[in-house]
Amino acid sequence: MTKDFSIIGKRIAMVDAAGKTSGAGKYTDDLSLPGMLVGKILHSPYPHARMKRIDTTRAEKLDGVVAVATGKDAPNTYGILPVGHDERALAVDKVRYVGDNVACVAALDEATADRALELIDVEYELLPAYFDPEKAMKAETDLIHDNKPHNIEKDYHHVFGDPEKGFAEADHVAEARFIANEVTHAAMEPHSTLAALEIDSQTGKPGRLTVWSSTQVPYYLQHKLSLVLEMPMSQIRVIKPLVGGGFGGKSEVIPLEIIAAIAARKTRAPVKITYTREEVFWAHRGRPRTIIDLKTGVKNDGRITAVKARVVQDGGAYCSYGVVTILYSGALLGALYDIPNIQYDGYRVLTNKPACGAMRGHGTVNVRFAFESQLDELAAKLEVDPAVIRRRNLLQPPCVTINGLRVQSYGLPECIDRVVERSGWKHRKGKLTRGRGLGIACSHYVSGAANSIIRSDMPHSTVNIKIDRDGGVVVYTGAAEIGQGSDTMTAQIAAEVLGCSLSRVKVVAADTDLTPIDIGSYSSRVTFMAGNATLRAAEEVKKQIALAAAKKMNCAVEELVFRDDGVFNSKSINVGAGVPPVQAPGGDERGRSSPHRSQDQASVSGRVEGQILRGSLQQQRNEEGPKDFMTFEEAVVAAIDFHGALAGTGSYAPPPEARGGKFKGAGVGPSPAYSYSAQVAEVTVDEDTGEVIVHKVWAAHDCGRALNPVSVEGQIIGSVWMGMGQALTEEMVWKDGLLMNPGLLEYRSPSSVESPEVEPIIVESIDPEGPFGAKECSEGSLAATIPAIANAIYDAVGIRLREAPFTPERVLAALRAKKNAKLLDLTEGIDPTAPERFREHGGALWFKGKGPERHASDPARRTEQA
Amino acid sequence: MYLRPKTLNEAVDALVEPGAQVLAGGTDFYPALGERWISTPVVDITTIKEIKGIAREKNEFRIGGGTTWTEILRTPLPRCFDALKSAAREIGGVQIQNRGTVAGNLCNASPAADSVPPLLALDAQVELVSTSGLRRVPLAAFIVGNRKTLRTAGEILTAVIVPHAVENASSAFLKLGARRYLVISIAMVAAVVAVDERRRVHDARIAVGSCSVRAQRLSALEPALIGAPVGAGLGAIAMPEHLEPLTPIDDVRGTAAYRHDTALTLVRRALDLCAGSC
Repeated sequence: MTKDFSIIGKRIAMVDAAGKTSGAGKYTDDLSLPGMLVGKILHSPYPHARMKRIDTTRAEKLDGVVAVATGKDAPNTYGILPVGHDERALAVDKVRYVGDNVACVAALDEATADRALELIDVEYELLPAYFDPEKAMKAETDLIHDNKPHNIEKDYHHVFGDPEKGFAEADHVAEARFIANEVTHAAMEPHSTLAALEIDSQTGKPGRLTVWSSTQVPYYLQHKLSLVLEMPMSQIRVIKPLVGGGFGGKSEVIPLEIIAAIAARKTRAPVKITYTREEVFWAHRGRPRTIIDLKTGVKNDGRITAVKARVVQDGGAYCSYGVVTILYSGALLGALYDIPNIQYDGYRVLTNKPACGAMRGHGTVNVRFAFESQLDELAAKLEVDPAVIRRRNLLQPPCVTINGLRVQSYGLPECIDRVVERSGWKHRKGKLTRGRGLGIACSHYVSGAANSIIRSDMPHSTVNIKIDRDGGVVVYTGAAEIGQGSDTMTAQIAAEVLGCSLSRVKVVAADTDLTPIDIGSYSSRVTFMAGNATLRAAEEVKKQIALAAAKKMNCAVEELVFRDDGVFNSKSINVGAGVPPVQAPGGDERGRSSPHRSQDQASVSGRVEGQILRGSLQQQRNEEGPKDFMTFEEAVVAAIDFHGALAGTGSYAPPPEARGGKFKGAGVGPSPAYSYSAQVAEVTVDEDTGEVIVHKVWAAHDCGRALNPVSVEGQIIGSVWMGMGQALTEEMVWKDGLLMNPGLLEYRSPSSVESPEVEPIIVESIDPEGPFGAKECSEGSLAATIPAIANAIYDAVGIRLREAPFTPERVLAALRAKKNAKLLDLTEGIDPTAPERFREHGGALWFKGKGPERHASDPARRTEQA
Repeated sequence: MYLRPKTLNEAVDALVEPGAQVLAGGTDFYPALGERWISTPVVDITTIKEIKGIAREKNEFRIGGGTTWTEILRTPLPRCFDALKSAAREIGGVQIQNRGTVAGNLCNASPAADSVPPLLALDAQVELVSTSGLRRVPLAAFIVGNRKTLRTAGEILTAVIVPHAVENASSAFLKLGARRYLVISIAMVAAVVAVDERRRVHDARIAVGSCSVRAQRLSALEPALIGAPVGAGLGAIAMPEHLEPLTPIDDVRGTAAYRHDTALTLVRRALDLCAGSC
């Protein structure tokens, strides 16, 4: 089918690739403005304390300091979720985690700002702090937020079908506790924000605010800035420069974004704040440590009868996306397999650590690890092939799951078949040499949430298109390119619909003054939603062009075909349907060029800014009467002459039937379409050291239609790699609320050396509602990687790992426990909350002299004392 | 104050400045600053030729303190240096190996310094020079604790001296980290094994790093290996009680128990590797 398209389905380099690879592209920290100040933030050295007094006078007096902002400069609360407005840009009464934001110095240079931080005097009254969610849930006093009893941000209790009956009918039941430790995004670009306040030229008072920020959600940023600064949204412009990776870490408003604006308002000068890598770790918003008690019942043939999950998430000190995360964890038990009975109890708990938020595969990853591991265990018990047990539990789409999720396109069976075939599963599984094994797992994800986090009926995406007389197409979209390829996707869809070349399309994106509202780049919604909006906008413009062209060509609108930079009368010229355009002089060898190429070139001299000159070829052709085709430019000029202007708009809102059930919490989980993945991992395990090496991962992903296969493959490979990091090496380690590894040396993302060969396999189920049938491809694959590796380790050495990451130490502990025929205590060996574990800390902590005991343990001080 | 002397004499004179710090490759110096600015006088010794390069002298090898890890990797050296070369490959990434120096790694004295176990196994000595003269100290004595050495503020580590004694012995280095490269070791082992004409061990040195405040030789294991036939099974001579000198700690990279456990595995494997190449 792909051959019917000229741009969709082709391997196309990202439209912004050259800017990034040559260094010409500008990220936020590359920007500067005349008179710009540097902002530096003072962070809390204590996990939980009341602020009794803050005195900034000494800092303000320092030469080079322009202003010091504190909580009282903008005390309004905010939060990404309307139900979770519990944050302040700068603390007013309390600090709730080590790293919480206390004050901001705006100074002429960084060194001065740094020095000034040490001159801010804060008096704290320490409060008991909570680091373990299960302990935090029992607390009666010294609550982290007064309005959250027992430190429970939110709990949900869902029952679908009859789980009791389901378990009673089961022939086998497995039950176990799984733990997935905390991970963070570690995007290459640290957060950075530049804020500038214009002085109104008429009144001389502060006027409009412009904020350049490394964000996935320009619209939400504009919204929260308005809330905190008490300025109308129309007075705030948010511009997103290039972004060096988000993965969810920039999908909500991060304190520095508002702090920079507060400082800019206070100083009346542009202020830029860029987080250090350590501050990025404190800002966090990653995937919470999750404790999953999971129970699954199956019949002897492998059919699942019931699933019960109790999930506790260590959410950190603020709500962030927490309510959504805990709901996704339950909702996405559905829509992958056919599960008739589900019980879900989810607890999002507050602790005195940086807030967790959304991270690639939001809410589903940790529970999927537990579920796919347990399914593998049941398959082993039943002596059913793990690939087969998954095939025996398929949905029969189109359908609505027991928890209200509508599933239409469903490429899971093909994904399973493809990885089984490509990995040689049938003849290799269980037959590899000792210590080497294969494991399989599946996963899925939403193509955008069907319900916006801000409840309203507004479209989730709107796109405007304008075309000039010379045939230049400008697409205005609020969708935020964060490296995932949204600009390329937008250009491809517009060019495909309009039948013009990709180079004609310019994408203007993510500038709230210029681009219509798009709710942002998160939950894998952009291709599906902004893609559909682009498609509709382009169709609208195309309709206008067609009307004018049909008139010129003296044919019916329906007879026109837009392709290869031209408009053809399909009755006289055979285009499309897999047949290359009619060969004509000037067509190149591949026959891909349009038949009017020679005339198009000749007409160059006859065109000035879209005007057709007397005596030119175009003029000649205009006078020749009805014809079979027009160039794209000719058609555009005709349309502008005909309509007066050429512009179109399109928007997308998910259909009501995709928006889920009516119960409390039903809003999270529904999506217009789900992507599907299946993966096989091949690993070896060193039985003496516990080291695991992943050799190869076969990863099949159903993305509906691959609009740009090379981009889809990149997303699959990236997901596998990131999932492997969480599976084997990545873990945030805490001591008394202090992060022990706030740097990329000890927070160990895999390097290129550890990266296995990944074979991405694209499965196209052609979704009925996706743009050209496309669904998401950037998150769904991640969740399968962790259990695929866990199951491969089981195949290799016969141990079940129920705590991620599977560090050499945990693997060895499990091997030893197996050898001694003893049950492995999950926390044996490693308890991330045990303070006695550490005699030194792992990072170069430096809280500007404000954390005395930590200061003393800082190895960096050694040089100072010398 | 930032000085870049051209000669060793100028450098030691400059170091008389109170609080002055030596800057060699800078690969530990700058990270240790964290987010702070340099606040002490700095003596940058990167351009001093006298402390660079590797020379074979009459009774010993002399490795200049300013020699980089890349230079060690690229210089043809006898087999007993194989372990040191393997360690050089594990120090940071290539960029770090291009800048980082032997003296820097030793003076930084991290319990996880990759070069210490192989040099300990070679019975290396260090040469220290100050305005008051030159002295030699065995490496085993030079590092006294976690980031503590016998180097006084006015001294520069000018060379590492390795005796010829085990020149043709086989050597091996193994490192276990939670990631394969760009990682601080959980445990590491260097072994040097020399054989006699009857293919029996006549000299064995085993050093373990990252499992105590400073790397340790396994003094009980070494004599137990003497006279053992070289071949498969050499590693099996190592027993848990031989690890008695080790006092590993729990930290962000691993627990003490795990370090202990895997140190034994690494010792056995390193010995088997040496036996395989004797």
